[in-house]
Amino acid sequence: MVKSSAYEVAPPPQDEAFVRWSTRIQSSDQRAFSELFEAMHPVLLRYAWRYTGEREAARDVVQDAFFKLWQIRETVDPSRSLKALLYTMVRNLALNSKRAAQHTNGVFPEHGLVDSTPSVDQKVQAEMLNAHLRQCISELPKRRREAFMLSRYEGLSHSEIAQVMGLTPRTVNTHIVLALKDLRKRLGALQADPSP
Amino acid sequence: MIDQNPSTPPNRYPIPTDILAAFEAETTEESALLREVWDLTEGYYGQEPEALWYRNTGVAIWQDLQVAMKRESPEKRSPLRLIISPWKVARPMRYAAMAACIAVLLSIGMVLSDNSTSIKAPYGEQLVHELPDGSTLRLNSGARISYNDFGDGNRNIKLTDGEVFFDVTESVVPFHVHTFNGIVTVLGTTFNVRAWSDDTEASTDVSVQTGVVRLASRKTPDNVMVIKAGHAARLADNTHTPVAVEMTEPDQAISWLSGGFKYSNHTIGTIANELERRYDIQIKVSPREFQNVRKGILKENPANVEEIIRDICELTCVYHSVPGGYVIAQRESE
Repeated sequence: MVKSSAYEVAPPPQDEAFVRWSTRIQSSDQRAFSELFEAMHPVLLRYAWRYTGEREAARDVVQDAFFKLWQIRETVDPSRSLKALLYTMVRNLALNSKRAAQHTNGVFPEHGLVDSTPSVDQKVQAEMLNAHLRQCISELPKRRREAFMLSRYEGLSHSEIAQVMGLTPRTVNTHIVLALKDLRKRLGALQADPSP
Repeated sequence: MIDQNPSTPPNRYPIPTDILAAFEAETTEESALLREVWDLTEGYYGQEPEALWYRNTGVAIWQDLQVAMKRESPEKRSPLRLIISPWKVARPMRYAAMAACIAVLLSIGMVLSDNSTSIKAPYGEQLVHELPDGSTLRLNSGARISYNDFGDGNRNIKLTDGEVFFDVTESVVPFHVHTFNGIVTVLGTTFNVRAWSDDTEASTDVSVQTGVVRLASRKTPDNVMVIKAGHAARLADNTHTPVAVEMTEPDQAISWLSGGFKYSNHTIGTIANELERRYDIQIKVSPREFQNVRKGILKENPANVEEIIRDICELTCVYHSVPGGYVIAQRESE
């Protein structure tokens, strides 16, 4: 069951906005920085939280990333994707904090899964399907899963994912297509053999 | 085949055009199913913190940031803790970052001297390790690697013994893996190297997942074989020329990454070695010559070691468990 609150996090703005922001932030424009923060903090918090599994850790990661961005603002290159830069920073920070406290592997944490309100049949089914989805996604090979999730759940373009993961856009495409094929196999098997 | 989740909302992010283009290589039915998978996975958004948390956290972070930004000046240290950034950072920070990594890695059996790093995956375990260039390694049980810190601009890894899956960050600097008899060279790709010098038929086996990999003998490094994605090659101990290897299944060489146990056409001795490392047990094969008999074993997801041994033996041998392991004995011929 998808809670409506999930949709209150707006998708990130268009690429042109990022180019404008990076040009202005480069010249220490605090207002541009606050606009960028306003637009990006929800998606980045969610992204970081997926790695850390803890809200406090996610908060620290996002704060450190934005502060770091401000510190290095003069070196920001508007011709490179600012969005990908932010994701890269959050990713590396989150992986680091993860090393200290082993957590979730970049898969959504378990909590929030159980809904205590009485459920109609359809809702239960949807819950089960989503639980299986998480299972299937968590079983994908690591890099494949990461590329897929950046595309599917963060809406990053191939070249942005390439920048974040240090791959070529072509490899990114391969990873995502293979992830979809893997998932299709796993989900297909699930449908053929419905669990009781 | 795949039912649409009735409560799946419309996609927040549409399927990228590059992926749709890749689907054109598939049948119409398959392509439609893959699209459905994209739609279906939207339901995964379900469990996340509520919107209120994002808003409150955002306000709190912004307040902290403003304080930090006011204090910030070139001379002053950051009031926030040091972080590792993805691009080149100032020297002192890099050392701080390295020190942090080392502290963690020491706890998983990493030994450090000067700039060189050695790692060993214990029997019964697998390890993930990230290199200074961002490449990641996954070490199968018992594998040992070492490298210098890449500080001189080289990317050289010594695979002393064992099996490692490499996910190499793309760079103009070649990435070399040195095994007991071979040299593997790549720029940026994913591939598996298996090189146990103590196997009954010792060899360096390379299987490529993405990109292109070059394999050469240490003794004749100019004699290079180019291996493309989806292919594999072997450099046997007693030869200097790599040869292509047919794989029974495409992902066979990396099945260990997902808990599989797949060795087609290997000797019982080699398979027993693998079992010993994977499950941290001891296996005695009797009589000794039986070690050289060839077997194939393809287990996607074995529940335990006994399931594998049972399949290996089938009709040709018997096994019984002893403290700390198993004895595999050849069956008397009729």
